[in-house]
Amino acid sequence: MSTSIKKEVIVSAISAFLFLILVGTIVSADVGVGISPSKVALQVEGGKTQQLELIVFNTGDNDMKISLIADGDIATFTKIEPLSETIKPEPKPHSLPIKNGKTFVVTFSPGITSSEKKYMGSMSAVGSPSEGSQFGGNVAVASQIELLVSPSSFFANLLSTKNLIILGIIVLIIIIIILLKRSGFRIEFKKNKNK
Amino acid sequence: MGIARGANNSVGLRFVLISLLVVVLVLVFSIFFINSNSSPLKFTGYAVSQVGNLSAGITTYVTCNWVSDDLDVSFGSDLSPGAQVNATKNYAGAGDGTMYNISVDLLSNVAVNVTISGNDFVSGANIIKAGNITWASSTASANDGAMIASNGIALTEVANTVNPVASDLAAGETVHYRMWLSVPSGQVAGNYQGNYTTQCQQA
Repeated sequence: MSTSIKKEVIVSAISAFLFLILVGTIVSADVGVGISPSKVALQVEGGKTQQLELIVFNTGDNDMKISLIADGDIATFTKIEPLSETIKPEPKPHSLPIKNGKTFVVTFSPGITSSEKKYMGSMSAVGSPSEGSQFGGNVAVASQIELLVSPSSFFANLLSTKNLIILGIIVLIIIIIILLKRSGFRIEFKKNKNK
Repeated sequence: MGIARGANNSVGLRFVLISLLVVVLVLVFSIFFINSNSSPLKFTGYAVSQVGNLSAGITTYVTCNWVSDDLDVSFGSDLSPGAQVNATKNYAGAGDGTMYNISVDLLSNVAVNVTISGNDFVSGANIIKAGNITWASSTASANDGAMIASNGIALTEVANTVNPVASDLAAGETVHYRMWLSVPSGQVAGNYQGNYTTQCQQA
């Protein structure tokens, strides 16, 4: 075997070895996701909106596209902006404050209600780094959301003490008129003939 | 306007009813024209107190890490209908331990529950239901003897909170798990694919 062929074989072998190390590094990379805050209790008036900022961060080894999804009772009236972000990993060793996290703005818009309602749900930060696998694993962390929706001011005003008293008085007047009629009285308007 | 009664005009009844109307009118007047803020029963003055301001901002984090093996679970490629097979890394670790595990990152400052859910295996129009996959977990060790197929819990399409993969994990703790697939008898041949999700949230 000539010297040049030997060199080519050696270079090829080294290249292949380096390639395998590189591929091995990529394949064995771990993934990690975090979210803050981990649990939130909010109160909002029915028909109005309430915003919440969630920080999502990557504790894995590589950039990862992470989507935020609303689950549970809150899903129908929740808007998320942005829906997904590609997030760079946190520097190691991991420490606070979060350096590369992204902020997602979540807006809750529950409908008008006449009574207090409690909605439970979660905001899940989901990464899907395994497309094409036989049984691919998605990774997720969730922030638990408890949303207390108070009666809308429209209904609250409608059912205020003042309005209830007025309603009672109107009912009383109607009852008096009915009693008068049953007693044989009649209410009539007469034109004064003297004028 | 007048209130009249045919033949039996009762002055007493008229007096009572007219009095009632007057009471009602007085009530209406009091509601609309008397401002509650000017009530004579309202006392005003100065409240004196000394206040030391205290403030505390508490932020909670939940963070989990997954090894690469979690992301690509395979049950093999030459499976027979009716067989129950191990995921390929169930016993591939040291001491026949499982390679599948999830750990709570040290950034977490709350206890963490881990749940699992999954979708059906699909190959074209053919399906193997998610419930044909079973799993078992342990926080004790990667080769915990309790992680055997007979203890397997069927995978559900919504996160299984009744049987979580792990409960109350502290930062730095790890949960190990194994998975098995029961191929239904008479299952049509094909390359089936599916996915599962493991989720961490505050306990």
